[in-house]
Amino acid sequence: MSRAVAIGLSLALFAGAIPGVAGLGSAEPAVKAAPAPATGEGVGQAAPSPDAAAPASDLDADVRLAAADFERGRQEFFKGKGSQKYKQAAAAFGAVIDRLSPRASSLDVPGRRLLAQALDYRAQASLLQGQDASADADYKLLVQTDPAYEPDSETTSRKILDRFRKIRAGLVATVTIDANPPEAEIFWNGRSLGTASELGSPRTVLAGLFVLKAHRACYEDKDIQGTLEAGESRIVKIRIDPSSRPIRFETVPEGFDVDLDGTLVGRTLVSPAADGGPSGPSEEPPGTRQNSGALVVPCVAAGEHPYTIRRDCYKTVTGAASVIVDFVDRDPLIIRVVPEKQIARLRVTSDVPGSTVTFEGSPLGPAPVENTTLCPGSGRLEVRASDRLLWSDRIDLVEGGVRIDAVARPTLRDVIVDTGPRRLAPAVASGIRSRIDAIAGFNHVSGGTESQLREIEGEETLRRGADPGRLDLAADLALLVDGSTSARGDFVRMRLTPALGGFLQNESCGVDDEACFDRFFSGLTSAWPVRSALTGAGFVETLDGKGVRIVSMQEPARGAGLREGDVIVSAGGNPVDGAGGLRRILDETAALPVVAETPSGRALPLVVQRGTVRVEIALPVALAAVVPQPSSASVPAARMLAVADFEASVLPAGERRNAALLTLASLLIGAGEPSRALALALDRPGWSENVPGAASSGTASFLAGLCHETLGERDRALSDYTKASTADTATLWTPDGLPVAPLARTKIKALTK
Amino acid sequence: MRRTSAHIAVLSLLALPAWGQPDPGEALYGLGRQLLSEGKTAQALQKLEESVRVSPKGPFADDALLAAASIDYPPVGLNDLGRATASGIPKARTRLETIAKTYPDSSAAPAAMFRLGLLEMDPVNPRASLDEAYATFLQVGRLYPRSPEAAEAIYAAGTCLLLQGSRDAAAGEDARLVVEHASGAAGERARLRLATSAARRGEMALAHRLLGPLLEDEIATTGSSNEGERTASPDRGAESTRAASVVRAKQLEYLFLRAAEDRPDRMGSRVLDDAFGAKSTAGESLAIAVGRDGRVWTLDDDSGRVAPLGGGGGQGASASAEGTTFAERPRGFGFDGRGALVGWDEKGLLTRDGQRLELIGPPARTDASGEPLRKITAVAFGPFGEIDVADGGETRVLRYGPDRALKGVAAVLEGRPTALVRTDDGTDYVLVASRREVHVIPPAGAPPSRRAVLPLKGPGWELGSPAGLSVDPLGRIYVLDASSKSIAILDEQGRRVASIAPARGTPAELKSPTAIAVDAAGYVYVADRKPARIVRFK
Repeated sequence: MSRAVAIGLSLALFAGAIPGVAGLGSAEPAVKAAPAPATGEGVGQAAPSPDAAAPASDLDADVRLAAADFERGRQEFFKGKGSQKYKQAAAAFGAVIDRLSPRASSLDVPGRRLLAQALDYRAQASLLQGQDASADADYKLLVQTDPAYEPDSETTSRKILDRFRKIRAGLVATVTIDANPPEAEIFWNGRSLGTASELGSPRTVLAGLFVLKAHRACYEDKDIQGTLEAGESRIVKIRIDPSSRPIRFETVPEGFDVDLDGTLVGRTLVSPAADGGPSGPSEEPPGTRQNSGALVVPCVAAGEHPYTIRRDCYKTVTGAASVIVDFVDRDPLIIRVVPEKQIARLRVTSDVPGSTVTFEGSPLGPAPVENTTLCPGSGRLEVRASDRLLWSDRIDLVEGGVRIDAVARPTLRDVIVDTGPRRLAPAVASGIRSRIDAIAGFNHVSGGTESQLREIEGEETLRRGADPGRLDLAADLALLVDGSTSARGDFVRMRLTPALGGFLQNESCGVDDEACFDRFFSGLTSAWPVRSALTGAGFVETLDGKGVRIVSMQEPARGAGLREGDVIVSAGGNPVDGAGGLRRILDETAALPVVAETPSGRALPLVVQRGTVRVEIALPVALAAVVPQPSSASVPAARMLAVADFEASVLPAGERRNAALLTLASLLIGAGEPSRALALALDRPGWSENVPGAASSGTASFLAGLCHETLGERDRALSDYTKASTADTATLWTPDGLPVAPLARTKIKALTK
Repeated sequence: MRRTSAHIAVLSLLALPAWGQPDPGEALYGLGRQLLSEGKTAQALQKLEESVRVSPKGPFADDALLAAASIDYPPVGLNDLGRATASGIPKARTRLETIAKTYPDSSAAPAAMFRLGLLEMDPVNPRASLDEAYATFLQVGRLYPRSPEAAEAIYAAGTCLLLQGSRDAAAGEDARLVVEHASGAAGERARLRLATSAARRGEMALAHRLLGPLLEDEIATTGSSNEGERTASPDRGAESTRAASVVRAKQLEYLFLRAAEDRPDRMGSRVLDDAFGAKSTAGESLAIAVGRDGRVWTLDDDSGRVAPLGGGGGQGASASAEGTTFAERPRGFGFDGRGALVGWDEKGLLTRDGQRLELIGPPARTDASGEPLRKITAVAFGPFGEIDVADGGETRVLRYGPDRALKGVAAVLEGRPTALVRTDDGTDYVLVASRREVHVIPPAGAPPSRRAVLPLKGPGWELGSPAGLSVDPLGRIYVLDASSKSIAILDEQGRRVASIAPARGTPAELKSPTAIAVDAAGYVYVADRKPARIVRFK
């Protein structure tokens, strides 16, 4: 017989056995109802070994296989022929016993029943073969497996029945469990017997030590231990007491979060029970009925329990639930609240037609927004015209009405031009507009991103110099550093950052002094820490004011069309009189505004003399971060500090922010302020790793090492230098500047000597 | 912060006259300065002291003290060391310390503290202490980081470390200087020094980058790549410090490139420098040296005249007008701390004006005075006027200050020293020909354990009769071997890293070499006989 057929047959047999085992103590129906399998195979042949028949882990499969073995044994036992039939039957029952007895404790009721029957029949087979001792051993094992087992009296001889009962009487006792409350779950020697109410009449159990346990949620568990003598009949009483009580929070309306003992325990939800509560909808005025919600916390220990009931737009309710455990009254403690609703009304107007208003990202509709009701609280209000942010601020919505006139934010140029009774000369105003826009990229004031419009708090008026006709450049520079507009957008708030204190000089220009502004802004421009690094420039030689001859070069100069021997006679429209002049032109060409986007593919137009012809070539100029040296005196340190600090504040993480931080550090080191260089730049978070060149974090580590060394912190200096010594691509000041790693190694060697 | 408070202090002091009496010290200070400019130092000193006395808290007290200290002790920079007299040092020290302590926020304070450091390291100071000087210089850098003296002080601190044999620690200070004071003169000098030490440590990428800006500068200004320009005299061709640094950078760059090409397996790789040619000399050259100006000077055996070789590759150009014929025939010559030519023979130093200066050896007993040296075999001069002497009589090396005061016995040798070279960091290299050894004697401040003896032999090579010795800025030792008529180039551990062994029959062949010198760029000069000539190897 194939394996599939054998299993199918087994399943059929086992299914037939189930009704028999369901009626505890009556195996006969199962035996009788089981159809006799039409098989000619011998027991020994069909019985697979336990190991081969089923995996040990598959208990159900074991039981099914055991059922098949059992059925074969039963057939042999009742219908077999010949003198060997009991022996063969005993072997089949033995297969069942061997398979199931090692796992008796894991068997379910039918499984145990099957094992018990196998033991019963093998014992009978043993007796019929005169093996009394073996039979007695099986009966003892049978009783231990199922103390309530009773052999089938119709198929079992009276003599055998008596023998079994005699053995059993020496091993079992009778117990009646009286448990309270009836809902408690009862455990006998760790095995669940079900709820107390299901236990019914006395139960036959094994004599000896026992542990009776009762358990119910919100009640205190109890164990009873004792010993039952064989043949004893006893009533065991067990009672457990409540230790806590449910609390039912009811709110009108629903949806309130409930904190109990400082922990969120849930939210009140609509439920039929809530609506039908003891003080439910009837208290609501007609027409204003709201859904009430409820939350039941099932077991709350006796004592005081503070609670908070909260929901946006409602007043928070707090209180303390006093839980008393009552043995009689087990109804939940009901806490019912109707929190007071809060409403803020918002009115938003805009001076830009077609603008839309959002609050905390939720659209409120096109401006003007009239008396929209919102929950009180703080949030970000934005007014946009398509993608352009016109106005944005964090506002506090208080109960009652709030009116926001979202006048489009003034651009920086508006503020600068507004100098009081006197007016800027038109040329100066125009120059400032273009330069400020270029230098500071202050488009963000009128159309930038939220991140650049932060830290608006308090109000100040525009600070001016003593002479209202003069712009206070120091103050305006501070504006660049920390410029932000007020909630109403009608003034500019300024704040000197700590980095600037003591460094920012009070310079001022007359409002019509164009030359003064030129000087000021050219200083800012040259402070810009991004400069050209003409890659592949190679060697050049000067030809006595007649240009610069290219001696050698690399890419991209070659790719741009330059050749060795070419003489550069002009660059960017300016005549080239020497290598120094060419470098200056390159630097100036690449100088870019502070937060302006770096153009890609920037090129410098060159005119070169090649033999007798002149050729025009566009030379790509690579941009790379360049950091001023500490001793650089070409630009006033205050301006450079201001720009660098501004950049460090607003630029996203990346090479340029690193460059700004390093510029700040470098200037402070040059000013003899190593601790401030550390605090304001080098120890500032947000360095971008993996940036090569002069804006590398390795460069920062090296400078930090210098600062710590100056401050006498040798160990920290060594740590910094060690980090810098692995920054193979880091350089100082320029992309082709001094390599940081060997410098750091030099310092490490010096410090460890 | 300190600068701000200094400004406030100055402003408040300057404001005083507007409120009442003019500062009584001002006029005296002005008078003192005027007398000083007229060369009346004694009277000037009197007025300056009076200025401080009448207005010790006035705005000119610090300036007056500094001016007075300058009379007692004139040096204002490292180049001035070794030129002062010891007598004025105690008074100068007192004045400078007064400025540093009493007027720490004054404008004179950084200069005073810097000069105090100079005074503390000056070899003419009998109580000189490099440790004290180093600490003082560091204080200048820390207390007055933005003062003009800060960079010079850090450089000088590095010099103190070098003179104590702490080359690595000196490189650390130079690295700081290069970063924090890159654009000044001291920063440039630190670049050069750091480049040299980086090259010695094998950090060639750093060494080349350090030289970069200086090399670029010359490209931009002169555009010349002429070989001859590389060794141009800083004093003659360009007087500025910057120009000197540029020339020095060129020399170092050339030296680094040559050193990188030297390999033990390429013996004789150095070739005769055709651009230099073979300069004939009137007579055989007993000694050869490269002056601080980069020119090659020789001592003519026949005439006893010491003169620079003429430029332009001309023949027989030894009779330069700059030459000197000493009153007594010297055995050798050198250039002292001021760059002045000094001859020497067995019994002492010879000056150009005919003086003989004896050198007194250490006393044999504590209760006796020392005897003049009588068997000097070699003399070397330090950058600050130090004089190191090989005493053949007692087989030892003695060290003297610029004033010929004995500083100590550097080493006692087991053989007669035959040649002596002193490097800028104060290390002495002594050739003991009889034992075929080079002894490396560390600077006075360094631990004696640094002393090394390098045998002039190794696997597969041995010098038969070493006759001359020179050392380049990378610390590589050049030993002239008269028997094999070749030059062995050794590294600091005594391993032969290259050799110059001209083949027979070639113009470079050395017939009877007598002396060797190596310049700052690593060019090797050899004095040869039969015919008498000086050749240069690349």
